[in-house]
Amino acid sequence: MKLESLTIDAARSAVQERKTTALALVEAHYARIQQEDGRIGAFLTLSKERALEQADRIDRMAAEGKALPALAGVPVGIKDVMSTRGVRTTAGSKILDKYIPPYDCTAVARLEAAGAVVLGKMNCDEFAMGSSNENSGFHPVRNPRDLSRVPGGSSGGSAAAVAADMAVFALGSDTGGSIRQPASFCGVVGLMPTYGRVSRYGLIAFASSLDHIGPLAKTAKDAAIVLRTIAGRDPMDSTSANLPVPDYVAELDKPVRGLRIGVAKEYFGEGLDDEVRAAVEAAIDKLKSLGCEIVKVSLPHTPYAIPTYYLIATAEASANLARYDGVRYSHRARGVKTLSEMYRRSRDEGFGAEVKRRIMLGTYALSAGYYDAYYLKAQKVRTLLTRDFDEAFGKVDAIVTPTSPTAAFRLGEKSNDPLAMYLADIYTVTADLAGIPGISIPCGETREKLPIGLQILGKHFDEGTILRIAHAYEQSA
Amino acid sequence: MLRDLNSILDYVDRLNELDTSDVSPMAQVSDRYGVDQAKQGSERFVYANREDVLEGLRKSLPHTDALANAPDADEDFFRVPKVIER
Repeated sequence: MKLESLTIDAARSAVQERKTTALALVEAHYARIQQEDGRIGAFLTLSKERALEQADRIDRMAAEGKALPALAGVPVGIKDVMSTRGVRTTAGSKILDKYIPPYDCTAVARLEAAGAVVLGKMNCDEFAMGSSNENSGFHPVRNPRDLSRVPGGSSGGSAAAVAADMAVFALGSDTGGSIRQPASFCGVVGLMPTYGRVSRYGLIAFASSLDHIGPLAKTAKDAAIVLRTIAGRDPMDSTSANLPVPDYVAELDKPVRGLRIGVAKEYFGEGLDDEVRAAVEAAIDKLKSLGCEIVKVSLPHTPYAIPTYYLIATAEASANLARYDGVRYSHRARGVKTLSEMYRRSRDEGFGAEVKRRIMLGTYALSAGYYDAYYLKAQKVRTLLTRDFDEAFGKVDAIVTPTSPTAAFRLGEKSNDPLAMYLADIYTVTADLAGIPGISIPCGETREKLPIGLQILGKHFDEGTILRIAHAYEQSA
Repeated sequence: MLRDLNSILDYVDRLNELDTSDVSPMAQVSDRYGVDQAKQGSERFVYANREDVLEGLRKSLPHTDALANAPDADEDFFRVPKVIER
């Protein structure tokens, strides 16, 4: 049994049945990290003490013959935008290089209560702003499938770690596609739940109406197990939904025959790479052969999604990042004589170029005289985009699209042209704007053996249906 | 930086192609979902519940924890350069 290639289910069963120990699992993964991560760069901080303590706790429970919780002994990586008490958390930024949170993110706490073992903090684009993990304040992450290429972003470290068997699963965050797109580039499963399904307490905020926490995993079933563990109302997050959490795992094997699957022409137009198109169309044919009804739908405002996103997200970010002022916990510039100099120089030194770009754009979009033309206008277009989905979901149960117009591009290829980088998010930002759930699953490879992702979008709080479709497709491949 | 910002602003201008004179803005997802019109006040929203009213006040972060990451602090306060420039 190769301890680093297990799924959640297999790992937990192995520990429960005493075929292995939580300690052995942790050690196997740290050995793998030691072997591979020098090349990949997925981890920013390792939390060995915490991991070993947790593994020991699980092993003692197993030795006493107790029933183990759902994620017992399973090693996980946590994207560095989620606070872990006592463990350095940077949000991928130099401005938080030395920050040690005094509390845990709710999603992390729930994972640990279920027995998961936190291996460390995953590298990401700074403050989750990016689509390639090249904006990390520390070092880029490389795609394990081709080290000259990006893993995607902003949850690039999380996706790469799972793809390279350095973690069984990982938590990522998604604001414009940052779970789904790296999942697609690295060939793993990435699930973004409905807005409010998972508490954002402890997630370092980028854009509060768009941020989501979700799992990156090796299978749809693993994603379902994690979602079931982390979802649910949290009094510490007033935007977390007061709705019961279904047993996503129990619903997985329900047949997909008869489900209506929408295909929107706006997601198959210009700019879509031919090999990606072919793989996604083949996946749609596969779903049809499983008994799904394929229905043509239209999401006409799709071309306006990127400008809408980059106005709303940057505006919210400009407010959320105002707290990094050098006073309470972030980097403070030396030799400053006045308060305003301290703010200006601390932020100038601590933030990278993309973060500065977005703060400036956002501030501008909200400023007097421009608020109506930019921010308010974008909020109205957000309504139109959401209405597109409302209408489509009146006719279908799910919508399938490519996750990204291309497979993983090379490091440096888009980093000189921010707008070109933004346009890579075209298929993912719409779900964040509407608050609907979406999952990316592998559906093939390019001629150069790069993974291609299929995205399945669902109705609000209907993660069960998209997980079911993903699972059925996986089982049939 | 200026070139990048200008090109992005030019790009976002295309939103003006859309007539939104009759469209209400959407600041957050809960503006449109989880609204139970039969209920009153914040009860209407799936997302917003005033549990702090029901549970009472929670304990604050301890003082030392709150000061632990400070670049400069004494036992009570964060220390910063002078606020008022004379």
